[in-house]
Amino acid sequence: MSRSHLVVVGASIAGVTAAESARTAGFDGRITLVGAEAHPAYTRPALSKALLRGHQSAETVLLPPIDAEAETRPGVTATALDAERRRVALSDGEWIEYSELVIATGARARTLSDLTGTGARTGEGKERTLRSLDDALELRLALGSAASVLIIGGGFVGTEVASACLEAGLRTEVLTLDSRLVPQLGDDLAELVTRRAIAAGLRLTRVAGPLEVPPGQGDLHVVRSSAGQHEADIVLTAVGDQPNLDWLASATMRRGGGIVVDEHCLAAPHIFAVGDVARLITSRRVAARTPFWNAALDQARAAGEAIARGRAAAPYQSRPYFWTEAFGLAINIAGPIPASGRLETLEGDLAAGSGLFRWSNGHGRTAAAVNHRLPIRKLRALASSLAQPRKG
Amino acid sequence: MKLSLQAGRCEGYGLCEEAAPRVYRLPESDNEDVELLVTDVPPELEVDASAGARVCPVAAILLTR
Repeated sequence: MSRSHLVVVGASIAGVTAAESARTAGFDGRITLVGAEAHPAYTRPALSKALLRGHQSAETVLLPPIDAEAETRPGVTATALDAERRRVALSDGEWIEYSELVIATGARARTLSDLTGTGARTGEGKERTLRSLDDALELRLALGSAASVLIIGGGFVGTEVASACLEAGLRTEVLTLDSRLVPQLGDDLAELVTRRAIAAGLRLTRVAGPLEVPPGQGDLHVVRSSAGQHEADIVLTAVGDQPNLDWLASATMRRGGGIVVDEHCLAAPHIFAVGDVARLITSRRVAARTPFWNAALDQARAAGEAIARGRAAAPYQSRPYFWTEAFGLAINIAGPIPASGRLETLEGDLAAGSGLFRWSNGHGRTAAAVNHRLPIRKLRALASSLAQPRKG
Repeated sequence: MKLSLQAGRCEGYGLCEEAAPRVYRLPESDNEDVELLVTDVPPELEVDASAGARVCPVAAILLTR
């Protein structure tokens, strides 16, 4: 191959950003963007928030298409990697050669059968999850003619969907392993969200041990747990995500349920991984995956720059930033979660559900703006000194 | 390239400003929408403009060619 060829597998925000960043940083070879979905890239965080609550069309969550001159292959997935010969097999039968490869295949929604010990579903029926734009549009349509919904899982997605359902007047129950919703935010914020949810009419049921799903066909309506039998018109599983690594045969590429990358997001010679599949290795440890919008963006930028500039590129630095909207609360967080330790009120009142707050703990400082608009730049400044913004 | 905001969509996250400070600026008052420093985007700022639009969590920024 005479000219360099960047192949990006995965055409959502991480893949598009990696390709754009490579081009901006001076990469002048060919770029091919391979994406499983028929849609262009869209903002996934909006799916369980504004899109589900409103009547907006699907177009309102789409993001600007790639600017860099690139060949796009929508509706195509990668099926195999041959690192030795630097080529990737595609679902349409073609092998494409690369000089550099970016793996940005993201994650899919985890299902009950992915969770060992929670009772696999033995029927042919489809388990409803919320991950893609199509999932969100289907769920919204289904909610329109339902009276009740049962959500399995009280994390970000489960909580946001529950909020949208109650707002739409549906009888809503959430099954969780924790006594609170969004426990990953830390005790203070989880308590606030949970209190608001109960006040809004949510039935929150703590369950222990495996869920039992009766075998059957068609949509799921009944689940049995340690707390009894739960029935609803719609059952949604929201129990986290699972990285899309099945197409990678090599065990070294999928260590501990993720692709281990260095500070340039390099996983192996000429192979980068960014977004929901990536686990960052540092001198101290291999971090967990960080399946969040900003981590995907920052990793994609680092990889793109490294493709153009090699080791001279700016390394990836974790700068955690999260947001959620549920039960009348808009919460933005900078710094590591769970936000735990000593709570400092900078403005407002947490119990009243608005203001600026900060926690100091063993891993640094975390700041949160609750029903208080504050740009990321200012929120970061309030948070940990371990997460200084990178210039550029 | 033309740049505009979809009315009522901006929630002030500021990711656009972080990605492209030459095109987007969050006003000092946190309750105002992002300020577009250009609306008729010159060619040299097109990549910045779309990079900023692309990172918006609520897809509030509209680009037309």
